[in-house]
Amino acid sequence: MIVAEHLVKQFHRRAVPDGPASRFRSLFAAREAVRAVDDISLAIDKGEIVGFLGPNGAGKSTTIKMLTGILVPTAGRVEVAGVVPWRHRRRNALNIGVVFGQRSQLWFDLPLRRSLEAIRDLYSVSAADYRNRMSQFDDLLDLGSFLDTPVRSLSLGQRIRGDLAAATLYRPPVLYLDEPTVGLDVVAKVALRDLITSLNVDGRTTVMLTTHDMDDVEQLCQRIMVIDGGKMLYEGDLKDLKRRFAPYRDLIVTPRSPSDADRIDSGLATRVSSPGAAKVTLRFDPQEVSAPEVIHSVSSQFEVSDISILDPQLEDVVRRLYGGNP
Amino acid sequence: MRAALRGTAAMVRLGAQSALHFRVNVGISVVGACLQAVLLIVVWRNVYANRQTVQGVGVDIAVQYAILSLAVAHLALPFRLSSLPERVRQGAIATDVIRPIGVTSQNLAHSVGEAAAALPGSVAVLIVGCALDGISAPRDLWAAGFFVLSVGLGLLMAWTMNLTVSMVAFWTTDTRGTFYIYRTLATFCSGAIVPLWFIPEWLAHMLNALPFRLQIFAPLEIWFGQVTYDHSKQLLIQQASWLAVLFLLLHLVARRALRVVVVNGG
Amino acid sequence: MAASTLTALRVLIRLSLATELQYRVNLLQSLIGGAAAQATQLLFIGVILTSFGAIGGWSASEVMLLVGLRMAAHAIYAFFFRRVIDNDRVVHTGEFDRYLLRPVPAFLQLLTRQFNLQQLGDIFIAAAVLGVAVRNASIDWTFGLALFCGASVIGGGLIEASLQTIRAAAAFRLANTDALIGTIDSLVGTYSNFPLQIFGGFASAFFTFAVPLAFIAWAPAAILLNRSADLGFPAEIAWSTPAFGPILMMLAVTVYHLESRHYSSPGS
Repeated sequence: MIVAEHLVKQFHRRAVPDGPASRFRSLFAAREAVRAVDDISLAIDKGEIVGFLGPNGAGKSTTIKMLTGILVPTAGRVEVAGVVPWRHRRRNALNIGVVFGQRSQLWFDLPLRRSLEAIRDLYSVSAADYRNRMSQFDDLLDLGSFLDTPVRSLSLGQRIRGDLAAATLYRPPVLYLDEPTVGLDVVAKVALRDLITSLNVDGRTTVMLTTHDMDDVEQLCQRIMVIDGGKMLYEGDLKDLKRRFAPYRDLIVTPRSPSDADRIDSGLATRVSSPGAAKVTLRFDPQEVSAPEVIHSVSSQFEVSDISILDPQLEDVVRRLYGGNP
Repeated sequence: MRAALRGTAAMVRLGAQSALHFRVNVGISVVGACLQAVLLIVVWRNVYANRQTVQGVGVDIAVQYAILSLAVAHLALPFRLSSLPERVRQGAIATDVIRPIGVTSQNLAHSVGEAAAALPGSVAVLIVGCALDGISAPRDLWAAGFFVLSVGLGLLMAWTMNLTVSMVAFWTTDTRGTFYIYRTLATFCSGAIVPLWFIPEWLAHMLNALPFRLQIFAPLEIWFGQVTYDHSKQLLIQQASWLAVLFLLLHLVARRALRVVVVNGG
Repeated sequence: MAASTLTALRVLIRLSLATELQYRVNLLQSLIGGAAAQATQLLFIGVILTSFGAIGGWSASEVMLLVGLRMAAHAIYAFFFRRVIDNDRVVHTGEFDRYLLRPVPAFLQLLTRQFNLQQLGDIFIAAAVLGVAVRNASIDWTFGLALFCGASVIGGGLIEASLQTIRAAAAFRLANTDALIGTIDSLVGTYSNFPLQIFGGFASAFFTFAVPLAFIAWAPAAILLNRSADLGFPAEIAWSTPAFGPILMMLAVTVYHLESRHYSSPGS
């Protein structure tokens, strides 16, 4: 559905020289090229939800903007639903929906309803479809409560929900979400995720999601791509990523008698919790030893009141990935 | 006191740097100003055609007036009237409040610095004027000295007014309309395009009551030696008094404007 | 395609009108202010004409016809195309992102980002000035000449629009276009009110070929006043004035869309 090959985007920036009269000399300084995106290739199939991750300034937004047709690539090829976005902009516009968490696409001074009606007419949505989808939005996003408020007076959460409604009203086969959950409260985040899931399941909508919220990724995405410095760092399955970059699991043990806490140990796993804690954390490599084995070895030696297994946090995995030390 | 001066100097420098940062813009403004200088000289010489004087003004005086007024107006009414609207939109004004010098003087210092970006254009206009044989020396040194003083005071008046008008940015997001109207009025009333000698008397009375003519026309009257020493001094005093009034006005407007910011931010 | 663009245009105009009506006080202010600015321009011409009587061999009433044509052409530009001056702002705030994401030509979305109700004032004043000027000038009206006059006004408006569109397109690459706007505004505002023969050689050529102010009002005025000898180029060229506007405008919109490929969306 989305194909990009060897995508490059170069920006120009004026170099500011050091030393005396640097401001004056910078008037005549040459401009230097900066590659925001440097040779990125990707392919996303119909119906996939892909998480697009990377630290600030990694080139996520620039990539998304090339895929949506906002930016013209310096080099490389893009095709979305069979259309080259920047060349056939209007045809592409009918195929895609875009939500930028930072910047609204709605008509700022008018009530939300007017924006949605405009979208309906611009994208030739039939009256019946419009009614159905609006009632769905009302169910999932509680849109009805602020439809008649001017966009400029909406809270951030309401605005994003409005933007999401506007981007999906015409049921585009491809949906780009650029940090849609930034600054949202838990309720709004859940509503947003529900809508995305239902669009994906019912309409086979392809979704590309950039976010810093790892809960978003874990709950929505089957596959992730991680970029940094304009280059693809990792691309693949979420489970694979965890296996590769966090090859351990944690066993959390609460001993029945607290005096045991400092003595609990197993030859099969390493103790990582600090001495004196009521709960003991034992870390093991699932490739070498299975969870039941570790549990058995602990519970055969000590009396245990509670025991649980923790998967590695995606947050930690990604931090290690960005840091470049797998 | 010293701290305040240093702070003000820093704001002037900041304004100049931010304006000079757009070097293509500076280049275009120099070219544009030169183009206008050439065209104005041609227009006046041709409008006069074979006439010796019109309403007591000869062609050489008219041409010289056009060059000098263009050079001064280029500084007084720069293409970018003020960066204030931009900074209001970006929310930078809120941080002005927490700096250790007054908001009004901070912004005024910033606009003075910004006007520095127009200086190359002004100088270029004077060079073009000299090259096309359009400028002659003032009557005497007194006239020259008074002229420089008067231009300085006139520019300060203009910059204060520009900043006051820019304050509309606190109330409306689109300042272009207001700027356009103000620029048109100020250009005409200050004598930046048409020397006020040609203005009919009833209109001249109206313009005398406004501060605009003291910004460009008055300094040029002094340059051409058309007023006596006493009158020159009187003009300078008028300028200084207007400047005080305008600064007070700016201060009042700025105080109300900041209240708007606080209300919106709360 | 044409039908869908028309639908889009209707939707966009409805939206911009609704936006405009949200701010009634603003509207009243800009109507009054616009009238004041127009009056100032008229004063400027008036002062020159009362002092000098005739300019470049054209009598005061003849120059007034030129001014009337120029104001009418400007009103056409202002009413339909005024919003092109917003392009630098649209580009630097990233509002242009939205234009690129909608199935409507970006240029059309720019023009309709606000409805120009206040420019109605321009139209009334220009019509009044042109009406008075036409009555005072001695013109031998024929049907063809009247048609030419009307077409020239529209063409003149399109020439001004095309100049402003090209300068708007510069905003895609330049971070700051204030000086460019100021230069074009003062060139068009000041010099298109003069009969351009007074400039002679170099400047006339400049205004004919480089910045074609000559065809905004001067060339059609010369035809109407039967003064095509002043033009310095064949009268046939002046007669074809109405064609220049649409051609230049089409070129300008093409340049605009080509330049928009250099758009570097803020925050990327």
